Amino acid sequence: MQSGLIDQPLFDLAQIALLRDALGQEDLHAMLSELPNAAGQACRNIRTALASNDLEEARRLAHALKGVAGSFGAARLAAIAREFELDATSIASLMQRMPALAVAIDETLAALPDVLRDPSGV
Amino acid sequence: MNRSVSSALSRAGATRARADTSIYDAKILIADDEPLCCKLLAGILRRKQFTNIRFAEDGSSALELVDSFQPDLVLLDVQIPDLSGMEVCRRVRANPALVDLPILMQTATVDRKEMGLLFEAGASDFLSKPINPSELVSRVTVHLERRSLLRELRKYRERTSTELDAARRMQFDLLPAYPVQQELAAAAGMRIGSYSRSSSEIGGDLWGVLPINAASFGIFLADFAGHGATAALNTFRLHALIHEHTALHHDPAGLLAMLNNRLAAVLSPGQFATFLYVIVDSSADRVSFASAGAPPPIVALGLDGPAVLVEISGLPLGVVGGAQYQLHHRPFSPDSILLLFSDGLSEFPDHQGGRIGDEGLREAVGACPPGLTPHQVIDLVCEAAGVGEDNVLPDDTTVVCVDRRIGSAFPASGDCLGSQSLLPEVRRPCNQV
Repeated sequence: MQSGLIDQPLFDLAQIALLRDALGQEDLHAMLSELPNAAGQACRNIRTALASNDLEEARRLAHALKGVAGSFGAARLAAIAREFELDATSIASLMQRMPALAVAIDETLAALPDVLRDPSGV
Repeated sequence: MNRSVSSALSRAGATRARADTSIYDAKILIADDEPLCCKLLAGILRRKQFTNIRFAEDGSSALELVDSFQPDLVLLDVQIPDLSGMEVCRRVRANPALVDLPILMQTATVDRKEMGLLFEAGASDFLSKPINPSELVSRVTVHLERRSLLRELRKYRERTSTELDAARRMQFDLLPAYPVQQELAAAAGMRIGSYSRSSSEIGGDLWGVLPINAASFGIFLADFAGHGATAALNTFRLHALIHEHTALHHDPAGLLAMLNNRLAAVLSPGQFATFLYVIVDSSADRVSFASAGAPPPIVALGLDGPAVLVEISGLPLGVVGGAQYQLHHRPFSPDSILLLFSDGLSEFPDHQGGRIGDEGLREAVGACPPGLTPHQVIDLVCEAAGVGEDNVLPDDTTVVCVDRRIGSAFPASGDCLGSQSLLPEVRRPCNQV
């Protein structure tokens, strides 16, 4: 299923700026660098939950991904994870959403180096 | 939010935190199953000098750490695995010792009903997701400062309570010991009973007995304006003055004049005391009074005589130096009763807000049947005034009763004597003498 959130910016640069003020560039860089692994692991765990027909676990994992993505300013990934969480009514519907989730993760990871390189933020 | 606004918020948070540096030692538990979220929260807090942080990845471990780590604040994710955040919150709150532990629930919800459920579960506050660093630091700071203030307040109250308890015991020691008062009264062929309660831990009433000779003794009853610590400290002054001038114990008017002059020199404006001094003389069958604005004593003459208020005028002690006091005599034949009281008794408001007043107390004394012990008389007049053991007294209250109805045997010991070492009991009327 194609997400309607394709026009959502990949990153919320205002949130990134808040984090940079709070953490400093070095710590922010270190934490954002961990986002790819965290998001990839979340995606794999969701696949596993869906393969096990564990709808509630898939929803919970999507909720956690939404939280971490949103807090780190990964706006589009957070929005897609939120849709995934809200649509957790059947395994089949979530399976259809997996490609969009995977794409969002890939796009986020691809854009991350630019965000990390640009300390000016907004 | 632009960067300048966020920077300003950050600075505001830091300014608040400086108000109480002890909060930086606070133990903070972060309960979140997402390691990167834990790192983010901890990273923000560490940059603001909150360094004593532990983590829990599910509800059960959060509860265990609440028990073992004893955090000062918990950041709890609503959707934590195992037990939900709300269940963790409920279980923490079930422990009476943790009812005021700050629990900040992390939630992305904006649903008003869901927010209400968080607070119903016992959340102190919430922390919105995505994490806003300034909001995080500000809420954590506010709740830790509040917790710190509450602790300080508790410590202060405990210390004050201990000190007040010590002061109360010291003040109690100013009152005449039960055996001493009974010995003096018995030597003069009389009995004596008393009731004394403060409106708070310490009070401004003081009474005592002063030996004069085998047939007579003096009784004084003082009531300093107001109550509480100031009034109580003045009772110590007064006690010292009374016992410093033993040569005046046989001279009521002279004693009052001396006390007035000494107190007028030291009391602050607005501080004064009413004071009644009575010498009870069984050999002369009379009582001799001097009063400094005190409520009128009540004398019931003989078994059949009417109870009368002995109205005596006189300036309260400490108002102005040089005041003179008049000596008055009244008959006090065998079988008579004398009742002294502070206005805490006559002015005690009953359930309807009415007060028995001096006249009501006179009627109550007059209605006492013959044969009652002094404590039984006191019980009856207290009951008539509406003063019970469970009442909160708005003013310090003292009642002293002396009688010459000694027809019944005076026991060597009894409940009152036995309870002398029990401070709270002694302050209540005893039913047996």
